[in-house]
Amino acid sequence: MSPATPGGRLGRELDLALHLLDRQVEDAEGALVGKVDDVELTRSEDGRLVVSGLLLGANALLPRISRRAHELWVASAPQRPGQHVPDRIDLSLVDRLDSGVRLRTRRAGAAPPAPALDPDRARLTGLLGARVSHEGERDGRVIDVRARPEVDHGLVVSELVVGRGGAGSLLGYDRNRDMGPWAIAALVRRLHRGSWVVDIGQCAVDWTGGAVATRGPRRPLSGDHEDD
Amino acid sequence: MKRLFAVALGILTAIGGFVDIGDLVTNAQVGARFGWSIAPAVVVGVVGICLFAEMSGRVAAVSGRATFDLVRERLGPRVGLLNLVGSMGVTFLTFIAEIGGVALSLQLVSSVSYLLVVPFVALAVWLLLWRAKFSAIENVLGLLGLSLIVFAVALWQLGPDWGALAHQAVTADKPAGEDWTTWAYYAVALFGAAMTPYEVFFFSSGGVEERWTAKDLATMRANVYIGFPLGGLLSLAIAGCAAVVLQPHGIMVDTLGETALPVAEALGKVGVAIAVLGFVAATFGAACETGLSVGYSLAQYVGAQWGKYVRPQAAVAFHTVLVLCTLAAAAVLLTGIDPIAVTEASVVFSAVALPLTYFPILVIANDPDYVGEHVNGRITNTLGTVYLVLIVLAAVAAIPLMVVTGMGR
Repeated sequence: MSPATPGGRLGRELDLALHLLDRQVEDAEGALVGKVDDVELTRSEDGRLVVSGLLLGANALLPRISRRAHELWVASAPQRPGQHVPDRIDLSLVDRLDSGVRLRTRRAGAAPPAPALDPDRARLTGLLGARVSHEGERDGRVIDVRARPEVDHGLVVSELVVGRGGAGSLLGYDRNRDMGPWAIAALVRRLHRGSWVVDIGQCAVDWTGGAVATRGPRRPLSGDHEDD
Repeated sequence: MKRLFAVALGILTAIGGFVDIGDLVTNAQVGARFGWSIAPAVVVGVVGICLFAEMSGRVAAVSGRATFDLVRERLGPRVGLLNLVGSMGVTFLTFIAEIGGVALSLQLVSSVSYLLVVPFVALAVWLLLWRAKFSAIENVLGLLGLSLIVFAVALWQLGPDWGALAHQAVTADKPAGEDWTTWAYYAVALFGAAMTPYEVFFFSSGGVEERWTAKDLATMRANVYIGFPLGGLLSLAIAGCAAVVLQPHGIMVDTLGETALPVAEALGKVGVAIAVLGFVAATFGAACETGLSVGYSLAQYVGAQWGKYVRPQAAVAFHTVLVLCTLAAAAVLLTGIDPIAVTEASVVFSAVALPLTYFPILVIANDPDYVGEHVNGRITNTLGTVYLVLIVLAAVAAIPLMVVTGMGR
């Protein structure tokens, strides 16, 4: 992959929705570029799902808010070939991730339109919210996608986090034991107590239908611990 | 020495910048009708704003993220968008009220109808937002806002029966002619006025504007823990003045002039002049803060460049929003709507919008991913949880109380 691997949170295991999605992107000089409106995943030849870029702009954000709003946005200027294409920042341009994403370069020209209609590319939000069935039985939705850096392969999707979804799944309480205040933590953990984690190798993803079929062993999310 | 000066300046501007049109009007109205019997709501509100402003300031200093960044990261784009619409709507309503407040204050001096003044005030606000440095806006208007101390002086000069006032405050001893629903309505309004969400939008974004780091935490805390409570005392002084002078005569406060009336009785023309200067500075300062807050929250939601720390050319979308909302605010006021009524509505809707802002702040202030070792301590979290309950109660009760009491009539 990229010669220089990104630092900060991207240098170790992270949950893409909780730690990366919707964070502020700023350039090497601190100028604000946009939000991580979506994350681009690329299927490599060996079947790995690799985090390859950040997607920004109305064409990444609007589909997450309302499909209709996005259709109207595209229809507002149908003459533009790129009207439906998000801006893309290659992951090799990312310097580090902490409370925001810092780029290695200046913002001018950093986010060209994403290549359209590439069958090997998928979006993180295509996976988030997907219905999950475990060994044939419906059991929740994908609430997060876990990735970890692998030598020579970049940031690779390793596991899916599955739960009931809805309110509270982005607050971090289900993944961080020590976060207070106690009352909120207890409430959120109770709401999400059935969440579980499964290796991506055990998952068959139907991207167009928004469904995931899993099989084999899985472990409860509450048994996890965060390393910080 | 330089640091001491910075701390002192920060505290003084925090005092002068604490009071805005909502505090001026609501405190005077309440003082004139209920004396100090609803003072506990102000105290509870001031403690609350200190608590949450400190959290948002700490997150801004340590992580460089202002409040609306956090809202979207923790609530997602959909709920975040609803939150944005709600919070921005309330802040815009407050912005209209502040511009109206400046115009009403200038009407007191000039006797020219405020409607004729509104376009010039809007122009002046926009020019400041466009051209002036962030620190200039904050410091000059904050320091001029200190003129409101004249209310504390006036209260002292009026020589009230302190024991009776304190008794009212401590026992929530409302006048017999008023019922508890109206009391509760005004308690929620005072709570909303003290905790208006724009204060943390502005405070946290201001921290990013001024490039705070973890080293500035002590200065930030001094501003919050000393400046805000002293600003809150000014609120109580305004209510106290109204209680001493207006309540015995049964005068209800419907204009800014009536807010200043007790100062005239205590200190004469000079006092009134200082009070009006304070009105202008406080409302003008708050107009800048609310205007900026509308731009901040929208830009932080979409990730666009915002802030006065870059040239306007580098933050075009942000400055376009500022222009549009100033124009829109002036247009609303020129319909002839009563700015005092807008103010009353803005403090009630602030109360409704409180959980939208304060819940995400409480969560992030606990997240080591953002604030590292500076996460909330046990006491802050206990207080934060208690306040979250209070805030939700106030938010739920606000609209029903407004309807039942007919806006407190």
